[in-house]
Amino acid sequence: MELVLTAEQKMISEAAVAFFKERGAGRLRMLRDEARAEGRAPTFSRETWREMAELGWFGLLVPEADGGLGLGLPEAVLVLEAAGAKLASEPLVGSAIYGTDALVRCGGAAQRERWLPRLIAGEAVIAVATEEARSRGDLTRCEARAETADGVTRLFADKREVIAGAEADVFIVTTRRETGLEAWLVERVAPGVTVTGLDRVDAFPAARVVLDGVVVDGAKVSALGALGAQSTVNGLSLARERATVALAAEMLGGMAASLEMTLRYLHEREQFGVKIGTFQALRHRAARCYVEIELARSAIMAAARQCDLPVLDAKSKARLVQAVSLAKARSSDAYDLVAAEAIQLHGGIGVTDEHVIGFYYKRSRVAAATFGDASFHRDRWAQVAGY
Amino acid sequence: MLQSELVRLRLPPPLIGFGLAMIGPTLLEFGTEAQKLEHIPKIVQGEIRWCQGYSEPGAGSDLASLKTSAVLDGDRFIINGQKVWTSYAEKADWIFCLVRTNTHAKQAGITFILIDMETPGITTRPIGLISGASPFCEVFFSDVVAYPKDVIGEVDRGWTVAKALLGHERSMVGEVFAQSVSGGEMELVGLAREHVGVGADGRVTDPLLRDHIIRVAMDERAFMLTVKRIKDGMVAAKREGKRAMPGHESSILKLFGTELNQRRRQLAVEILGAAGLGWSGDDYAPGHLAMTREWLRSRGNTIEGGTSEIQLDIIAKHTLGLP
Repeated sequence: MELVLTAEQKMISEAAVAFFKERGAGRLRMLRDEARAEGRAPTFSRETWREMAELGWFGLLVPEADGGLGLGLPEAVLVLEAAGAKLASEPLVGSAIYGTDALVRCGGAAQRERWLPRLIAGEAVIAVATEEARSRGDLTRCEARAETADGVTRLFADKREVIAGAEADVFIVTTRRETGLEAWLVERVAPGVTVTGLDRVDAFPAARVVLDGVVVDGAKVSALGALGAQSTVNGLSLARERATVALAAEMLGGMAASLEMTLRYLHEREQFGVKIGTFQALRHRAARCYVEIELARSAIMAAARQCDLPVLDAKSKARLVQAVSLAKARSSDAYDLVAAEAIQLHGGIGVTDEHVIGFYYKRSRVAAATFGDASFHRDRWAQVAGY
Repeated sequence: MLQSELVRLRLPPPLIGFGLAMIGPTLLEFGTEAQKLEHIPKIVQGEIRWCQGYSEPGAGSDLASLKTSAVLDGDRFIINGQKVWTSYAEKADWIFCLVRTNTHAKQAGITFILIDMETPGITTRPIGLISGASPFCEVFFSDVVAYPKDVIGEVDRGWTVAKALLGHERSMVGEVFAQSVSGGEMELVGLAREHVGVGADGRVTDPLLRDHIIRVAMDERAFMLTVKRIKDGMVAAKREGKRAMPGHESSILKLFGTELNQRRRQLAVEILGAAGLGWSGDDYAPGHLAMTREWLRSRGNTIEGGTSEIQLDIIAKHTLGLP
């Protein structure tokens, strides 16, 4: 496992950086302002989504046999980093990685055939509805339930923070029975599904998805893969680990961009007849931010490579879990610090809505709380180590 | 490889560390053929032990302000002054020293010279630390004779040599450091289980101490991965035929690694509670006494080898390009 980029990876990174740079970090503000003017929750740009599809980004992790590019997480995280640097709110993490990867791993042949080509082409959106109000990042904390009576199974769920939930054509939903965790593929149009867009501080698209007695009809609503199979839970769990690393990479891009912006400001802004970048207190704070970013980068590169290794036994599972938790915890703390420092070092303009830095700060909080916050991941690290 | 074995066995790098990793490469880079012939074989065979005469009481972070003077008197230099923080000066055979040969220029008045520690006029005094005895010494020069043939590079051009040597020192310290920081997690957990307690669920009972252990362990892993990433980058650059000198990445490692070590030593002593408060005696376990001494000694880590503040200055200027 070498923590260096290959020539091919550098090319993927450069292409992604150019793509998002061209579109700029101001897009998020536009999408947010449009939504507010129209009195609805923010959404993402379908046009940009289709442009990403043309580059093959929704098939990045999908095996070539299924029509994808068959690349790995080390490549995907480079795209995510570029996206995060420009606050791109298109659901790469939630849909292209989490949902698509879960479908590939857990879905039955018919389910994959029906959805993968459309997802890869950017014609349909998949969203994963696993989080609940009290789950705080724990996939297994699930109060949603499936009830079977008279041969009919009905789903009852109240899922929150569903990334791109309002735009999704199909959901992966988890419920719990005494026998354990179960996963379902639920089409948006199934009766009993209510989706409400959430207006969150970061203006990234997310929704509340409520299932009220949704009937499992085997057509619009079916078990994801084999019902109640441990392999389904394992597959979903693994997809989630990879989405967590992808999110950490998006956060890395955001924190690096925040620091870069801050360095530019330190170079330009003058007070007391000198550039404020000459003040030692500010130089030291910027230097500490840089150290935190580089440590997070190392953790993310390692986790991305670890996630692509086969999970053969408890030991390799433990290594993977720890690698992912390190990446997410480090990224959460680092983005938190860097975004806050960026505001501080910008002085007054840093707290205005007019300046873009506030968008990074808001994103840092939401991203930190997604897929388990730093505290959750520290606890998970220790649990795996046995203390 | 010797370095990693020594660290694995938790032995300090010996006197030959200064020879092998510091003056040796410097002689190869700046020395004359005669100087290489005289000193290198003895360095490689560990026959001659070296110490480093850089810092002075008035010249720490601002090393270039050093005052130990070397006045040319005919065919010899007369050295007067004082060096401080010279490790193993009492045991060393030779010292490589920065002396001032020109008082009208700062960096451009410094000469890098090798001096035989047996020369009359040199006295040493050990420096005790808050943690007890240490290899550090003060070295006093009173009309000490040294020779132009032992000047490395040119007279007044010693600062360039000194900077190159500092670069080698940084990578040596960084390596030793990087390896010594790893592997402490289960030691701390073991200590916590014994001195704090374990619940029925297997968790250490004090949630805050448990969280500190986790943070130290995770930071250690992130640090080791960063060391690896830097190394992998250098190996890859070499493969592609590019120059692979350690750059300013060592400042990140030094800054973070030393602060991490302090946190780890502090945490160990906190976990020990009353058992971590001993200085000496049979009422304290030898292992615990050692941990208390390590905790005290670790305060010096963020000061020696370039203070944390200097490392931050270096990162700000050379990596971030701040004005």
